[in-house]
Amino acid sequence: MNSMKNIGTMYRYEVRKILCRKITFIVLALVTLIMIAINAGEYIIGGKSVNNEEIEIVGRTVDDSLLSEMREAIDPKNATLEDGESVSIGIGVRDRTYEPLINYLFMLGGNYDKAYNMSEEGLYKTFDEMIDTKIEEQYLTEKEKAYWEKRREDNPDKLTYGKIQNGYGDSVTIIYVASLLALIAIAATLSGVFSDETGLKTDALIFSSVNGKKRLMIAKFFAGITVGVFETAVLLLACVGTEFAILGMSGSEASVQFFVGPTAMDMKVGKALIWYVCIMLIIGILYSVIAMCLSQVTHNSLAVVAVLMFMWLMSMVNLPDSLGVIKRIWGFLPVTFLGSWTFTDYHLVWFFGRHLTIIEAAPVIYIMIAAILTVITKISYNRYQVKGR
Amino acid sequence: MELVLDRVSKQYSNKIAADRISESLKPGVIGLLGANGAGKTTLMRMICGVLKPNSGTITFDGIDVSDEMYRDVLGYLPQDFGYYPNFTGKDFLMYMAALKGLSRSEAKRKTEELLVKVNLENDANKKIKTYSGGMKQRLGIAQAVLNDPKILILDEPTAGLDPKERVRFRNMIAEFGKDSIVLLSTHIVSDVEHIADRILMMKDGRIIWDGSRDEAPDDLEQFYMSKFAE
Repeated sequence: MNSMKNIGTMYRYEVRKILCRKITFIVLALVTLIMIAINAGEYIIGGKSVNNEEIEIVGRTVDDSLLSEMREAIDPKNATLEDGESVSIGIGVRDRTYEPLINYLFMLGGNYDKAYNMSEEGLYKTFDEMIDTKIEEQYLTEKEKAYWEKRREDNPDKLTYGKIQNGYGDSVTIIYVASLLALIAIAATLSGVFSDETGLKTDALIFSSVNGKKRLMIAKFFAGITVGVFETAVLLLACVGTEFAILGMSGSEASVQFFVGPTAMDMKVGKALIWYVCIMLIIGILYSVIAMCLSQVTHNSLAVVAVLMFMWLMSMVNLPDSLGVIKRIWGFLPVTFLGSWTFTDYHLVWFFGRHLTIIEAAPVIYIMIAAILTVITKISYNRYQVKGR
Repeated sequence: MELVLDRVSKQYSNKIAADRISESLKPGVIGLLGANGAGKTTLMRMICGVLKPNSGTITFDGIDVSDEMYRDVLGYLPQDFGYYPNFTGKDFLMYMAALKGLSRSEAKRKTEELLVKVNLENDANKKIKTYSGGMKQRLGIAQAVLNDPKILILDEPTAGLDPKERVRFRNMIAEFGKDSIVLLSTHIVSDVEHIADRILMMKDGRIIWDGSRDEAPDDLEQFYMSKFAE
């Protein structure tokens, strides 16, 4: 009983030790400001306006009827080439209700002619073709291909239109920036959890105390994870909160395909955001454990920051699909996982006889890695000796 | 109550810091005299379980140094006493009390009692980074005795203390020596000559003299110098 109370007291002091570092607040404030600026900048400084007219068609199925209404509300702007051929060079909008939809179709089709004349059949055929191409590119196994074929057959639903300027959708596509910034914040904050004890020469006091070996490590870990998850939550709030503040909270029922492109991983964007927020919080735990593990193993705060920044830089490297297993492992790097591209990664992970999509598998994998790193930290902590200064 | 060192050795890459040391320590103040680099700090770290010997064992009433029960009866003031600069003196002692397994009420009572004992009661709520060297050392002594240890290891505890503080400290240690094993290392003979019941002299990782204070000549300083010149 007394031991548990001691862990509680030590936990509070460990949190205080972390928060005593000025860099904790400086870095967190900076990365939060960056996140807000990235989200709100184009609206506040760039003068981008929110389209409120499209709300009229929210919740409608994207079919011939809707596409026909769109055509009536839009003037195609054509130009005649020297050989007499007429090509579309843009659109004139009489009614802004359909502007985001035509822009979306333009992105899919590649030109305004195709977008303007898109039929329901043509739209879903384009979708299927794009998904097929992606599946072919990824060197999937026969089992994986069969899984996706069945899933597509079981879910032939058409797209539900949601706001294209949508707080949920924008959050899903930008949340990876928050995850990159969380790594910076956590690296700066937790790099000294164990190594500072060596630097401050308090290690001898700790390891000669009755609670210094087992219980203090538990307290330190919980304190580090608390602060790391708090920082992650602050960045999530800055990311998702800014989007909702600007674009409102409606639109959760929209199909995720409007924001991440055609995907067989069909779901509503609200559900997609919940998945990403949960995974991001787990990534916050993983980052915290990685930082503390490195802090214990290297006994050097700078080395911890250097390794984590290397991990950050690795996010810029994009490996080709032909690299097989390496590419698959690379795809799970937490710094780049939460992107729109994850929705078009059709690899599966087999877990206790069940097949999980990579979005379903990521939390399990991250928690397992965190558990392994915790064991490594514990082994290193138990072996630690106070040597010459 | 007996602390037994059985052929304890520690070797660094090019130096033997402790060479097959065997001692039996009983309650009382034991002064460990030796020049810088004699191996005193290494020996004390091994006794405190923060450094593993290459060979040999250290036990207290049969309990191995690596055991949690051993650390429960241990108090240690390292030579290079570390602290958290942004903690107040009181916070630091409360934190150390939690580390030493004291209950919250016990921790509060002991903290207040010790702050008075080491004359820091008026500075208890100031951050440690504002303390003088002597104040930090007194705080270090306070944390070492928080859990009323049966084994108290003090590595150069008088460094940074002024003459008045030294006298106060010696009295405190003498009091502790009545019921506990107090091992006090120093290279200043006057620190131990009036309070030590037993004196160990260490040179090049070995104990070169072991005897009671009565066995040593009155002029301990001269005796110490002659031993080290040998």
